[in-house]
Amino acid sequence: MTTLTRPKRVLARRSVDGQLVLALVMIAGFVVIAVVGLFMQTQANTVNVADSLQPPSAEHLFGTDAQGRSVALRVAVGSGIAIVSATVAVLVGGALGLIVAIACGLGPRWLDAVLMRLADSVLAFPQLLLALAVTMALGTGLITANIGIIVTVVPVFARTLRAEALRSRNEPFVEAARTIGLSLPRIAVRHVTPYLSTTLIVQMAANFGNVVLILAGLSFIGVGAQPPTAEWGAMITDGLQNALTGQWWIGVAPGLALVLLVIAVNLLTDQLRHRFGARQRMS
Amino acid sequence: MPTYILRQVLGVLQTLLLSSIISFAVLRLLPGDPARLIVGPLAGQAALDAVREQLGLNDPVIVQYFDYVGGFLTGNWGYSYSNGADVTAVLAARLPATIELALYAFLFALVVAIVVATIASYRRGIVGALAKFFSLIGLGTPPFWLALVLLLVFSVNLKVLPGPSGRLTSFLQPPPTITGLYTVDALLSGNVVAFSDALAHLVLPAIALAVIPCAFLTRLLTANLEDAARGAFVTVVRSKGVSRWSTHTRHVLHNALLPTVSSSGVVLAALITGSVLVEEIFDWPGVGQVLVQGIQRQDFAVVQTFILLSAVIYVLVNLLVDVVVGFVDPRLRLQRAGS
Repeated sequence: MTTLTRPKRVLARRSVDGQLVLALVMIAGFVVIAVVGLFMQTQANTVNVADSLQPPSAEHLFGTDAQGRSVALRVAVGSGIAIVSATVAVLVGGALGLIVAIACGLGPRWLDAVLMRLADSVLAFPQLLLALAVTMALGTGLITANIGIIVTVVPVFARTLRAEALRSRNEPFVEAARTIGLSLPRIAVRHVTPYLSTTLIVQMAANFGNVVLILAGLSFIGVGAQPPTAEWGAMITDGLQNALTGQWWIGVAPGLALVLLVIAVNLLTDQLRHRFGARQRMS
Repeated sequence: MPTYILRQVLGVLQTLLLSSIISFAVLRLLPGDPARLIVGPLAGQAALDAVREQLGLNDPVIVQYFDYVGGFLTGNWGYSYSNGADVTAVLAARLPATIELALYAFLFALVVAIVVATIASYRRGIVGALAKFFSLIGLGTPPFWLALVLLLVFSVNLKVLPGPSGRLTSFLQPPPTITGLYTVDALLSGNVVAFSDALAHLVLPAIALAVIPCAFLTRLLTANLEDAARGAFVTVVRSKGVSRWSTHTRHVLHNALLPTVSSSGVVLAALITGSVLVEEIFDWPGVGQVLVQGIQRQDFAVVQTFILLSAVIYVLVNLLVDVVVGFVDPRLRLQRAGS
């Protein structure tokens, strides 16, 4: 028996490492592409009608769109937009969710009940639709779309972190901190926050891909980034207009980049969960 | 059991109350004057004031909120100026198209998920890894992009399926309305041509809509199957001489399905969101298309109703599922009450 199980276990561990490396390499690749895109923003928006609707070639990796702009360059700019927007959304959303969770965990019971009921009622709306309504209320655009997305992810963070925060209340280190007379804010910042940090990091990774998808969806419908911004969702809308006449590359390229980024981040999330042993529900 | 149901219902009522306040607050924040949108840019001040009064925009906020909730509950969902009809009538006319699309997408997702998850949890290793890989891709694929790719492959290049042309080819008469679902109505009235045409129009949008629910269900069901396979009953059944495969499909699968049903709400939300993203691409005349067109034409009455309605449906389906699942399996009831 032992000779049979041993090699299997080694194999399993190695494949886990391989997935982690793959995810990190893909994410690093996207960051490099995004940085390149950052310096090419003006070129990516330069209209050149003479070059319009060129198929993919050595000169234009993913061809050009109806205005003769290089699709590859615009995908690069788009990865910057996606990465920065999603990072901001999970950082701000995560921080706000953390505050709510700690208030639930350390505060009075009625506060916990009220906040969780509120979180439930926000979670009752499909994420994309609530983000859409908030974005429209604030006026369409990339920044307002991000605010809309943050509103929808805060309760997701709050719900998962709250369970941990409640558990921390009975941990010896929190009881000890109370006994020596530390103030509640100090316990929250110095003792409970570090306790929640692994869960917070896993949740940030878990929500990242979802946020990228929602932002693209909002821009696709027309309430997120507005053309001529090289945002992936807006580029797919653009690509739809040319799809039926055969210029497939305009819409396919940004979507492919989006799928790859989300896969990379979700792969990383699985590995983080695996490592930190956090068995959270899929969100 | 009755106290369990009562507690669930009370909780749901609180949630719905707060949800209605949230959606009302967002409505109030919307820029622009709804009255101006209805009368048009050329109307005079008198006409504008009349419509403002009619809409109750001059009342105190509290009164407006109660009007809004009262109107919502009595099915009076406002006037959609871009469609020139009441929102209730617009949504009712378009609901069958969305239900038909979502139904096929759901069935497709469910069948694929059950087959893939059963095989993946029975034979881990390569097959299991492949299933995991596909659900990873599925969860990262935006439905509107998949719709574009499917159209390019099957409609533009292979020319085997119709392009974005709604529910039926334009020269065909829709079958007589019985259920509102074209495929069912066509079959009931014996119209084979309309049936196959309607089905051909359904394939691509249904697959695009199904991808995320399918990936989600596959992942969840595989995990539940692996959990259930560790149960003590498996050893008992196996020791009675039942083969591993029929233990897996007859006993383990049954035990894994019920906890999967608990997350129907997530699948429903994915279908609602997906219909918003996919319908416009295929020119599918459903409620998702009305929403997207409503956004583009600043028709807030439609947007408002759709969003609150989706929350209400989501919460009610979750309540129903909780009660039914709790009735069938008391262990899950205790779990839910404890959390």
